[in-house]
Amino acid sequence: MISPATRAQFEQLLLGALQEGLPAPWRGQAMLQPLPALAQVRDTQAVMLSIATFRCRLHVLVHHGLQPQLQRVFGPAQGEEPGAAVPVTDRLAEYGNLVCGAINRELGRSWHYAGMSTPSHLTGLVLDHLDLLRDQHQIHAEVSVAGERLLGASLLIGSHAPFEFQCIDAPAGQTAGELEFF
Amino acid sequence: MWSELGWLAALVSVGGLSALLWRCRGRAQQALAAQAQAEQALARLRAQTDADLSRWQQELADLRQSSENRASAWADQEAAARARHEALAPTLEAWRAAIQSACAQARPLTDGLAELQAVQTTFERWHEGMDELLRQNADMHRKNEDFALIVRQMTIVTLNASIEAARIGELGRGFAVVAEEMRELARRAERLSGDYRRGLHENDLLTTSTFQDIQASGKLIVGAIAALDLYQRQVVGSLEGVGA
Repeated sequence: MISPATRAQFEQLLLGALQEGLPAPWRGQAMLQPLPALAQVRDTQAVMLSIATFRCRLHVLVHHGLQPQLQRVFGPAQGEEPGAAVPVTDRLAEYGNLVCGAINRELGRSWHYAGMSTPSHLTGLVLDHLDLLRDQHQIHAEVSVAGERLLGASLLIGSHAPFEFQCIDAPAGQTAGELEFF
Repeated sequence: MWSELGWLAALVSVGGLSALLWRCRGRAQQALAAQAQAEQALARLRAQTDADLSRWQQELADLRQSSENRASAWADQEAAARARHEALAPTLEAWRAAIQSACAQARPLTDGLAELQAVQTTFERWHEGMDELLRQNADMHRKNEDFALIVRQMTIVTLNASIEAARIGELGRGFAVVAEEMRELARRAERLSGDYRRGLHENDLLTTSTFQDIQASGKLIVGAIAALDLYQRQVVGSLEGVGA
């Protein structure tokens, strides 16, 4: 339903969003790599979000294994009071929200109307059943920091009719706050 | 002697009087000369003033003529504009009528869009329904885990029963057969529980996907309706402003 060029655009969009959503100190150190398929060893936790447009439906999944590296990257920010610490699972849900929001923002530049869901926590076992969703295209990637795998991500694209998509370059100097993603 | 003095006095008087008369004559001549000069200056001034007056009168006459010409031209233009306005009046009237008709036809669209915005409550109802479905899914997971725990305990109990039957010996053979049957049932129950667990995970994925699709599509539709409503109000506002 989508051309290789459109698929490449979505892959680029996913990788950019994964980097943009990371906490600022880690963005420059992150390695983002597209994968041909989901890793053999499944992550134990997943956060899922969806985007609806008139042309297609997207599912964004961020999956992780709660490894210690996650605590370092998504742990309490500098200066944050320990008592007010947000659980890592919630921070990863926020991360998923930012990633999906960045994709939603980019779609909104090309297509006027798009809607985004709130995140849902799922067990990693659902990753064995992604084909059930009947989304025609699956794009997988993983994020590594300091040589260690941090988390995986999947973008599923489904539509009932062929469509094309191309990212629009943002004007120079444009910066987006979190609220502008939605 | 007195006559000589008299003649002298008379001579002196005459001389003095002559001198006085000479001085007066000089002054009179000066005054006459000054008067002549003044009269000449006055004549020149009069001539200059007459010339200026004549020039100004001519300029005033020219200005009057120019003003009359301009007034005449404006009157011609005003008449032409009035004629064009009268010629356009039917078209303007038709245009005004068309705008009013468009505004009247837009009213049901405005009302319809306002009603459509209430679709938000429909989405909230769906949202509540899906929330309940997800709670049911979570409850089914818990019950399946309880079932799996019971099956594991059953397996342990049947194992213990087999051990006890073997310990009893020949008398326990029948009991051992029952224990084996029970263990086979426990294994089947465990496989079923595993299949059911996989089914629940599939259900979780499908339910969450559907829930999020409804949620995201709801926001998409509400956003589109709000945007259309805004465009509609802007168009109607522009039409009403032009038609006024």
